Amino acid sequence: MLDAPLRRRTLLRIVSAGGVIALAPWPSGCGNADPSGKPLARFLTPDEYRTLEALAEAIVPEGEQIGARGARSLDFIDFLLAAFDNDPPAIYARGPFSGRKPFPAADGGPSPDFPENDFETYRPLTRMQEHSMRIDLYGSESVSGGNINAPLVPAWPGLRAIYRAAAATLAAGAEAQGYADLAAVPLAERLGAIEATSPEFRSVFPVNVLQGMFAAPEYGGNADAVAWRDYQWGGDSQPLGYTFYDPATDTLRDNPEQPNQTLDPRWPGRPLEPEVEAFINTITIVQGGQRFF
Amino acid sequence: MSSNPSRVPGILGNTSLARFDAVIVGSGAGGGATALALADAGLNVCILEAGPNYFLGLDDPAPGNPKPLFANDELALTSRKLIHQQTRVEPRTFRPSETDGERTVIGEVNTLPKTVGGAWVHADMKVPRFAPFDFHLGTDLGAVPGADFADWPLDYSELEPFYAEAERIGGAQGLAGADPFAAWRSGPYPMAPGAPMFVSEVLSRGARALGLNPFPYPGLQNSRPYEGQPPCNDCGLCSGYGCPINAKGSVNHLRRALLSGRVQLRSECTVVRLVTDASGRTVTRVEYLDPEGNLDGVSGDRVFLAASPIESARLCFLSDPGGPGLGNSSGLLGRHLMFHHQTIGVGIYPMNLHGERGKSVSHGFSDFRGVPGDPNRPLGGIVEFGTNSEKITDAIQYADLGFRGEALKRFLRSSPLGGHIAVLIMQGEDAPQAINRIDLDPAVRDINGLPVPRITYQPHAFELAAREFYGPKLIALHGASGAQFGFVSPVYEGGKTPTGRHIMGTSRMGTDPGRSVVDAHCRFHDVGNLFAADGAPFPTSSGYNPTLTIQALAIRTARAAV
Ligand SMILES: Cc1cc2nc3c(=O)[nH]c(=O)nc-3n(C[C@H](O)[C@H](O)[C@H](O)COP(=O)(O)OP(=O)(O)OC[C@H]3O[C@@H](n4cnc5c(N)ncnc54)[C@H](O)[C@@H]3O)c2cc1C
Repeated sequence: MLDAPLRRRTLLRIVSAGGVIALAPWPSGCGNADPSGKPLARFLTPDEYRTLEALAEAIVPEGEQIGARGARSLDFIDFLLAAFDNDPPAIYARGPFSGRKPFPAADGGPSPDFPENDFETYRPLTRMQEHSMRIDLYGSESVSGGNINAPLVPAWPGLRAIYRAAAATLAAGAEAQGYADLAAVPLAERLGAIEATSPEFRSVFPVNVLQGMFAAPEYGGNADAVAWRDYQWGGDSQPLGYTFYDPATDTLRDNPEQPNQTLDPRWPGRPLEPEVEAFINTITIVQGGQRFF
Repeated sequence: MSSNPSRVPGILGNTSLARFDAVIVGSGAGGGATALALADAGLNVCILEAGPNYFLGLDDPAPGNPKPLFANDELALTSRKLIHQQTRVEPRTFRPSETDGERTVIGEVNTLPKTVGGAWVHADMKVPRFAPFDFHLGTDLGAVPGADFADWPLDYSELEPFYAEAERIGGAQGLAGADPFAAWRSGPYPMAPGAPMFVSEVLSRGARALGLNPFPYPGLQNSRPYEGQPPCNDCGLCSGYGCPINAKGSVNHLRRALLSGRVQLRSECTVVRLVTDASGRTVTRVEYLDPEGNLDGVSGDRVFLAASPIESARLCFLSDPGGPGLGNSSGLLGRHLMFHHQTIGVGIYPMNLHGERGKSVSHGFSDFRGVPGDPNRPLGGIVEFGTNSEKITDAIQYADLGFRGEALKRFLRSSPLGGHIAVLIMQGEDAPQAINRIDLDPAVRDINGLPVPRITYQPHAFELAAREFYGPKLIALHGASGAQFGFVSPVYEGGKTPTGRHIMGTSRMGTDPGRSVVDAHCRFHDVGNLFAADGAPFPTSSGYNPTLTIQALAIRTARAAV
């Protein structure tokens, strides 16, 4: 019996473990919500979204492991671009816990009690954080003092303008080639389209796509933590962690399912694929290192 | 006497204090230790901290506090720099030398977190002590062309009790005697070592096979429940992350200080100037920008600079516009800036080392710290056994290498620089050079309109030679540990922007006012009520992680200042 009142996520886990309902905490495309349950604001138009998603798909294609489209990287980007339309701005999830892992039980192992999801709400920003993120999204003109170092530091147009312009460029390029939109361009040819976009877009887009794939699901991408699983990374593990402290014996022991001290037989690591191995071999030679086998 | 916990937003501790015996700039490792030592001595203290507070109940004596608002959230902490200096609004500048023009870089240069608790919140808390010889390298090494090795005006035995105190308050785990090269200690560690990481087991086997002496790295992560805090559960995201369950000793000094009833902490208050009396020898007021950016001020009989060496020196320059800088009659303020020269031996292994479990580093060895004057054992540094714990960071490095499409996917799947990587990080001694320094950039400003710090830095032949000497040995260790590939990472070669997080020097200590900025008790020679309480007074960098020494020295400074 639990002494503590059942928390919402405990209940969900118990019910789902019993097979009564399938747990789907982040229905596809819904993304996060503020405490009132309101979905996060979006910025991109459906057409812009579709165009950019088509490019994201070319950067990390679908396959045996999830790609950018399946992981919903564009939701992540869309929420970022509209972050200031939420109150507080949807920039920094609050924490400390997401509710994906339970509290430890008395012997240090997992308890049936899961914390609330504190990643679903956001922190108020400090003055410096707000200035910095506003410049990032709306450009250096948007904040008093944002251009203080011009021309030594060139003006920054802001991610919203950068994304909007890129979406238009990409759509126009596809049309000029006779396609209805970028999504209609064969995957193998899509990557080339990025060359027509601004240097700023070319440098931020792959980064944002990958952040969307591998950030915590509450930020909008990595739906149901699929990318963490597919690419064999543990994700957030608190408050359980990987070692369990047992006060009765005053010892720390490994989580038997996800050991800290030994090889994890479930995730022993995929062998380096030949192209990857060849690349690492080249770095090793260039750096004057050694290949041991 | 105590009004804890405070109910005034933005202010922690005793909000009713109106007159202060001391003002501390910065609430990090040095500031926290100083505050507690001063409060214990009966002084009333005001701490001004530029960053926000993410510890709920830090000043609440109720058990279970503080409750950190940190999470295993790579996007917030690493990508969006939740507590890091935001370089769009607070850039720094860099140039390798004065002959490289006004600057070669504007942006991120050696930034440390800005938050209540300082960078120590982000650290993975490795706390080796310095070796006894670290305190007299000036004598041991003699003249080294282009470098200014100097003796510390104190020796290890004088600092030892303060080391023990800092370990006890911070809650250190470790195994006395496990490192044959470690300094003598007056007692055991407060806690036994915690769990070894998988990567440590792999590298320790290789190290032992080569006759090296791996040991459990001393750290301030609890291996047991400690003074009301829980044990570390090895969640993996430790370096670069605040602890979500408060199992690190990041704010132990600070919390005790706040609970004393003698300390008040004002967060999001950025100090911009130290105002002196007409003689220039006494600080009379500390001016700061409050959370809304309005100018305010506070006075105290003594002022302690614990803003980390770059910001502390910047503040001295900002306080003397048009002049040489407050406390700079020696001309050495801002000079002898040191980082550790990290030589990083990279190993790529056939298996997944799952760096996202553990506490970032659980083991290391000191065999490569060397012996002063022995050409067969040059002065390198302690070596940490590390790996990569972050997934977004792992993924982005392949995109940065230019991979896209199926090629990128192959790298994401194989994760050669993520799951398969082990790193041997040697924290090499960085020779002190007067030409390595911070001053104010002549043109670049922060968003508050203040000149930003400009870092001028290049490595000395001393540390490059150590790198040459030990680099191949790091590669050999990877070979002995079962790596498929081993190489030395090119980071930190001359001309590159330094990224070190161990920041030392800029106000070196000494007995001669012509050759040092602060005296043997870290009091500014020129300004009688101003003290340095961070890594700024270090005359040399040693080859060990610096922060326990920063804290031990800060406690000693505070006791002497009372
Ligand atoms: C990821 C990471 C891992 C690390 N790991 C280790 C480790 O394992 N072992 C080790 O020894 N060291 C480690 N370090 C370094 C360690 O964090 C620092 O050495 C230590 O925190 C320095 O203490 P300090 O008090 O000098 O400065 P800090 O702890 O940086 O504190 C300075 C404080 O001053 C504040 N401040 C700055 N300017 C102003 C101003 N003008 N007004 C008001 N406040 C101001 C800052 O906001 C900050 O909070 C690590 C650092 C990082 C970033």
